[in-house]
Order: sequence, then C-alpha cells, then structure tokens
Amino acid sequence: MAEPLALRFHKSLYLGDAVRRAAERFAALGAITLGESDADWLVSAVPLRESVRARLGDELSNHALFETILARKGIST
Amino acid sequence: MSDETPDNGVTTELGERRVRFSVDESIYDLDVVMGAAYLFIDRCYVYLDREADRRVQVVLRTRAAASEDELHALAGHFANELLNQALRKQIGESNARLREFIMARALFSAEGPSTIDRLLAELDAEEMASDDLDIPVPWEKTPGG
Repeated sequence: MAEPLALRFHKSLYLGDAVRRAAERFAALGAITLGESDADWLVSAVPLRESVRARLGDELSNHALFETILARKGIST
Repeated sequence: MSDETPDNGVTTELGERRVRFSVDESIYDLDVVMGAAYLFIDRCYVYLDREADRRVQVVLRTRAAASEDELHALAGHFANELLNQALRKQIGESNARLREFIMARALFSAEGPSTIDRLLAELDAEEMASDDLDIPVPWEKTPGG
C-alpha cells in the first residue's frame, strides 16, 4: 500500500469548505481523509496508484486554492 | 539549485521545478496575493503558506521541467502581477465614491419627477382644492355677465 500523502493548508489562507471540495473532486484518485490542527486544514491522501502521487498533491493543492479564491470572490462552483 | 536575491528585492529560493518567495502583506494585502495567484493557477501549481504574521509564502511549481532562468522569470511575472493587482485594487477603491455617485444619480433620475417637482404639484393641488375665505359665488353671475 502506498504511503499517505500529507498536505496542509493554512487556515488564514485557505477556506475549509474549499479544501473539502477539492478533496471531493480528487476522491477518485485515492483514499482521502480530512482533518485539522489549530493552524491548518489537513489532508491525508493515499493514492490508488503510485504514479499519480505527485500529481495528486499538486492538483489537489491547486484546486483548493482555486476554490478558496472563488469563494472569497463570492462565486460558487 | 540556489537562493538568490535579484534586483527587484524579492528573495527567491529555487528548487527542482519550483520557486519559492515570500510576500509582505503590509505591501500587498491578501486580496492582491490571491488575485495574482488566480492568474497563475492555469500556468503552474500554486501553493500558499503562512510564513509568519503578515507574510505569505508563495510556492510556484512548474508542470514540466524548467531552467533556473525560467523559474526566475516565473517569479518575476508573479511579482509584476502583484503590482498590477495592487494598482487595480487602488483604482477600484479610489473610484468607489464616484461609482456610488453615478449609481445614485441614475436611480434618482429613474424614479420619475424630482422631489421638488412632486412637492410643487402637491401644493398646487391643495391650493386649487381649498378656499380659505369661503366666499360664495352665485352661479348666475359669470364674469362679464
């Protein structure tokens, strides 16, 4: 089984709903669980295939930022 | 790869396919940073982190292999976009009162006769309806009759 990918998104920069939506969007590529610490939204992702590991982290992070920016502008996806 | 401070004063740290630098929020607020980041999401992977209070760390990661020059150029373009977004925001804020005035004028003129016109019309109507002296006027007597 692949090692989980640990991502974190600072709460002052990323919206929790945005991170959750991004995780849902990429759920087909791995087993994704959400959590939080005092400062960060935490995402743990176990990719279904090792080949998508790096892309999964990059794409999920990008999408979380995209969703955050849209939400800050008052645009829902 | 290396850490460098180019002439624009932005300290960049280069890694494989990655350039990292920090933005001072007292110069570029978070809306400005987000506005610039939005324009780079299609070009590369963008990750933001909180480096310190009022400092945002920006990490740009290219989708394909990139040379040091290309990474520096990417950071430079982002810095330019920060300036562009800050200017747009400043212009938007300075024009806000003018926009409000134009909107108010448009709404005011769209509601029909002005308040003064309406008031004068009401006074005319009251004047026509009332006869304070209550002087009877025989119906037989007509002017010139």
